[in-house]
Amino acid sequence: MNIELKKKKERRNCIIRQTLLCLLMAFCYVFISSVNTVGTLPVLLIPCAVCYAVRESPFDSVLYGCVCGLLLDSASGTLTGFNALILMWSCLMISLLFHYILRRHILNFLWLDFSVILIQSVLHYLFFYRLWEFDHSGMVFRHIFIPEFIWTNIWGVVLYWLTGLITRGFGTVTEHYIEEKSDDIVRE
Amino acid sequence: MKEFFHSVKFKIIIALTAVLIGAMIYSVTTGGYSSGSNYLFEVIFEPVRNLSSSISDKVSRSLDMVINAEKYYNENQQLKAQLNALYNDVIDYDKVLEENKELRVMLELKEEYNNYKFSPPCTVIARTTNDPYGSFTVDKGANDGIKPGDPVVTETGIVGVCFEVSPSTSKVRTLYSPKTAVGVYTVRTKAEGIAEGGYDLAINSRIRMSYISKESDIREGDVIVTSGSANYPAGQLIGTVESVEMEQNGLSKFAVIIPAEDPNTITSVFVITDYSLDEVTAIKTGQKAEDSQ
Repeated sequence: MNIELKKKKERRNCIIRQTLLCLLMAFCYVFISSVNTVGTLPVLLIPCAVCYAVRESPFDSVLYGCVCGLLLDSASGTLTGFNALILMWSCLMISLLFHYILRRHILNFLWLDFSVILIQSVLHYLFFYRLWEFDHSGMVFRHIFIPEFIWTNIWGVVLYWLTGLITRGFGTVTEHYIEEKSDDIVRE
Repeated sequence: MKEFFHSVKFKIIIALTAVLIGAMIYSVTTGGYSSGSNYLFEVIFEPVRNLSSSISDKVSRSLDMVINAEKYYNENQQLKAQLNALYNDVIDYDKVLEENKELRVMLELKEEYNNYKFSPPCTVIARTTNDPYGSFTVDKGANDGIKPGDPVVTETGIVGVCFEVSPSTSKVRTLYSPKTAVGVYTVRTKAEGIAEGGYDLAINSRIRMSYISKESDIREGDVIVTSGSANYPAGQLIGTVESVEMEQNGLSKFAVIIPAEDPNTITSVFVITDYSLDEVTAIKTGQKAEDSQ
């Protein structure tokens, strides 16, 4: 009976968690596509996908990353599938790393988030500005891509904290720590 | 980890990758019509985006009023002075209007805009994220007769062109984009050129009129309108000349133009879904006749 109740609770928590994470993704999309402001906006969908990949299973992360990427394609006017491919494979790699090799720690998240944003920014700039040889494309990189890169990294920390709250509140995901093989550890 | 790469899930991921690559290729070949996924997201998020867009507009407008109050006051004084000058010009207006009507009869031209087909008023529902050229999305699409390549205008003048159309939304590329090139001429002297964008000017809300013959008479304050082509109807206001300089090669001149309408600040537009080319041809014929005289 207890086990059944526990399973029920876990299933309910899982549904709530996934719903909240999807709502977070929707908020990030609406924020970047409808806020009309002077200056560069952080591309929140990238750290959002990375945060998900840090905390969820590899296959789920791939799907989440893919949807985030498609939303980003829609918001930033890039070719459909461009950002989806980048985020999908990045999420897979990150999720596998956290699942098997890395410890879930903010520093690990930060350098991986930094790498994904860097890869996306450089590829976006190369394929949509540099390759077309527009005049002053270097200025576009300095004035648009660098502030975007910095802001996205800063907001990544906030999203990491937010997703942490969600998974702690409604989490059933087991922590993946590396167990160091040592003969000194006494196991019961 | 090895097990994951041999699992069915990994095969699904590979299949998904293939689908996305296919979607990318398909997107390139749609000729400006939106892909399925974009349409799906736009339909799902349209109400939320409309709401957040209107909230964002109201907040930024209120902030703008507080921050730039002094700037608007000065601008208001300048406009008052301009208005006084215009009142003087209005005196001659009726005379010019009569003359214009007579000329139109002579050229057998229809009344302006009579042969234009406009879309219903379109509201700007989204701005393309971090686009240096300020492209945006409007809430009307193919269902309202909009096609890729249709010019987008306001009451003041032309602001851009539709480049991606889904059944219910359209993405608009502004005059600031280097991909938008419009044939234009000055009303005063008929000096021709190409209006195009670039990032160096877009940051100051300006566009460039290039390829002006160095013999052309063009100066500050000249009004620039479209010369007419298959994509843009003739006579649409683009803006006024701010400055004129020689190109580095010394073969032609270029002018910096203040657009009549700043695409970064507009909230609603119209799309010209159809117009007759006869007027364009007639105007061109008229121009040629005038040139030969």
